[in-house]
Amino acid sequence: MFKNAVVRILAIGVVPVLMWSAAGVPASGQAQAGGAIRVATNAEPTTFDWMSSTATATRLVAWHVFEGLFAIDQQYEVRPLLAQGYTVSDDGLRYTIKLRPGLKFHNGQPVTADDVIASLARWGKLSSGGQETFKYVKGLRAVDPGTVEIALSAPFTPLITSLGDPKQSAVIVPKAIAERAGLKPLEELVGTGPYIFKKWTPGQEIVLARNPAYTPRAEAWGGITGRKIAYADEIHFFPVTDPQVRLAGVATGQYDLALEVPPDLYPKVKANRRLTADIVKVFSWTGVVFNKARGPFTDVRLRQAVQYAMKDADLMAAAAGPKAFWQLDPGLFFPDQHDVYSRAGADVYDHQNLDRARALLREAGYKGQKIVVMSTKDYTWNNNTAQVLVPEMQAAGFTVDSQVYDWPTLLSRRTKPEMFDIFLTGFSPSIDPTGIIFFGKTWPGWYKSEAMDRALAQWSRTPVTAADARRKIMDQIQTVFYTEVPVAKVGNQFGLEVYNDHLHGYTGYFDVRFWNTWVTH
Amino acid sequence: MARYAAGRVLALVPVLAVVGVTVFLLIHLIPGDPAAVILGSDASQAQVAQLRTALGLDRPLHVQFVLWLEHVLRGDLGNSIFLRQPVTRAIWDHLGPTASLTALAELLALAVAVPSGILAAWKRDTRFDQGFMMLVLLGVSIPSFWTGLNLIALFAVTVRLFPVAGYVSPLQGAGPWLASLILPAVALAFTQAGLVARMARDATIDVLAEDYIRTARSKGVRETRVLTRHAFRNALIPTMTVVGTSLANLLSGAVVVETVFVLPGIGNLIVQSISRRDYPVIEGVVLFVALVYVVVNLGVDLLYAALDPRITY
Repeated sequence: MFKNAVVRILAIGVVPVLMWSAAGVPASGQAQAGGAIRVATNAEPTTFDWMSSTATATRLVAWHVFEGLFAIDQQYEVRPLLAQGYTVSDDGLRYTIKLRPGLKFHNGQPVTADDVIASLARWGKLSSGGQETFKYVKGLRAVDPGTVEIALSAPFTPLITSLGDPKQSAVIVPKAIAERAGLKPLEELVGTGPYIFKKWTPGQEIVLARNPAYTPRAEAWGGITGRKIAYADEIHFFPVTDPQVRLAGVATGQYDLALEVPPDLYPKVKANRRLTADIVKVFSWTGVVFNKARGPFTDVRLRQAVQYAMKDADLMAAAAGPKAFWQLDPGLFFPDQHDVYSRAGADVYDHQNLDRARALLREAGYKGQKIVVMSTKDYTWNNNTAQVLVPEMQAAGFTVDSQVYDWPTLLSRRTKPEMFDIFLTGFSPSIDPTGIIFFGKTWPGWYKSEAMDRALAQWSRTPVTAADARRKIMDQIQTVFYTEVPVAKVGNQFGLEVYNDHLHGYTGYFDVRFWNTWVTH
Repeated sequence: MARYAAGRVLALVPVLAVVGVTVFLLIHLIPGDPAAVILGSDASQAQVAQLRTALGLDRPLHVQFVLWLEHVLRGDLGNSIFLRQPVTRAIWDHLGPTASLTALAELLALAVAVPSGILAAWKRDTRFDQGFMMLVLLGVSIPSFWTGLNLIALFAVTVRLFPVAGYVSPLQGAGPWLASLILPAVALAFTQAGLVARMARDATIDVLAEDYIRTARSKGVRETRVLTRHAFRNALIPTMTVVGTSLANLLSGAVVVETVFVLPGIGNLIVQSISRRDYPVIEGVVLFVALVYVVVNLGVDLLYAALDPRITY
């Protein structure tokens, strides 16, 4: 009887409490508007002008505020964003792009063809991709307020891809703002995105506020295009340089998500049931960049020798730690980028062969000249890679002078061919071979290759619908890459983001984005 | 005294001139390019050169120097390349967190260091004194970032008494403001207390060996009165020198602690500016730091006169 009484009391007392607390919890997957998403980043942007800057810290804030005519989807394929669609003339020389109706900037001004033309003109001067594209652009014309025509001097099939490239993006801003900014970074941050730039307190936080007038697309394409719903009222980005503090902040709920958590903290993340680890696989790849303008590496045999001296697994373990955070892969693009991924060169990549390396050194007549290898401790992975690379090169017979600098000094020294022979860097994802930065003749490394120029020109002429042909050309591009070795690829590095159970709807991508995401605090 | 103070203030001018010119030349001579930092590592050389021209960074060094000097003589420290605001505004905005942190850390340090230093001197060579010396050694030896991270682990993550990081302005409430400063202040106070306590102890020991103290004791004056009425004030004079140095150090920006706790203070500003090669801000902050040292030293000198009537200027 006593037991029955206890059960009854529990049923009367406990069940309503459970029901009451359950009533306050949204059903799984049910989005909630309101609140503020709090993000701990590892760096503060040096500018919010996504058109001019290649920096990740700029992009992950800016793409909430700015949009372009096209953008990449979850599969890294380019789709319309501000554009409704486009047509191409039969000769491939005229692209007519229609804007979606009813688009407005954050200042209430409608988006017109004049704004698009002014923005693209600025992009063509500022951005590497823009400069490459504008070699083919003969003129831009407003057909009507909602339609832009791009006339080309020669077929350039990567045009739409280039307009959707997230690196130094072709974002659309009001004409007056584009003209006032000129070649200087934008100061008036007026875009069309789901979030409006609200304020920046340097060293403290960046705040974006929901754009109540945003008209999203209907398609669920994901990535940085398609339907974008701004559930949270605000997004706050806090620059927190110490990774332990970023992680501690997410664990205590002070932040909802932390970027760039070092892999060695992964066990701590796994041990906390309230935290979710998102391993970002399209993140960056590490490369050994050779000075091809002067010095020993003007000789391709010595570049090949370094490639044969490298044991990529050891280098990646030094750079990225546990195996879950790196991958050996020969691609210039990531496996998830199905359109452009190739495995050509796999017979050369990650095939350490010290005998072959030494033979190449002898063949090239290497006389023991000092090889200056530059790295930086500002990025731990960079210096760690150098510390393993140097003995591997020495084992092959190179005489190496390893020089470590802070990042701004390295950026400066790598522009002077007399200052280095090799520098180490990471390459963020590209979406088209014509956008690969080190294929540029003036980018540090100074790669000039007729074979590569021919392959890229062929790519630029091949229609985007000719999938088989493009695959063959991509294989050819990669074959030239592994023969001429302008850069020796080390491997793909994955990133680690950590978020807690306050954040819902979040999906991983190569950088964080917070539309279609909500918080419960 | 007023003439002395005025003379010291005037002496500031050549100090600032030498510091300013030296810093200008040094930072422009070290490698690094703000345009390259703005544009990111994937930017082409042509774009970097283009931005350098747009920002006026391609002008010859002597032209940049003359322009800078002209502005400084008018009291204008120029505009930050990155923050896109006047340097004076940037320094002012970052001064608040540093000043709050300094005040709290210094108060905590003095509250602990001075009484314990005097007590240790009184109980010289006892277990208390030995324990005290060990704590002092720990205080000056343990890096503040290590102390800071451990404080975060214990009080912010485990016990959840304080936030992990970040600064709350006093306009958002005294409680949250104080809560955001307690842990970094304790991390700083631990080191500063060690320095001050050591000096307080040594100064008190010296004073307690003086004849007038022996006279006071032989007259039957109670020991507490000997310490507080006779010894304390004289021991304070050399101690104030250390306090002054500590204050100037903290006001110049506790770089490591501000970084760990994400406090947007002067230390954070100078570190970010150096890594971005924001030349106007670097120059401005260094001049500010020189000014802080001169003003604090002047303040300490004037305090000597207040503490010791024998000192006149």
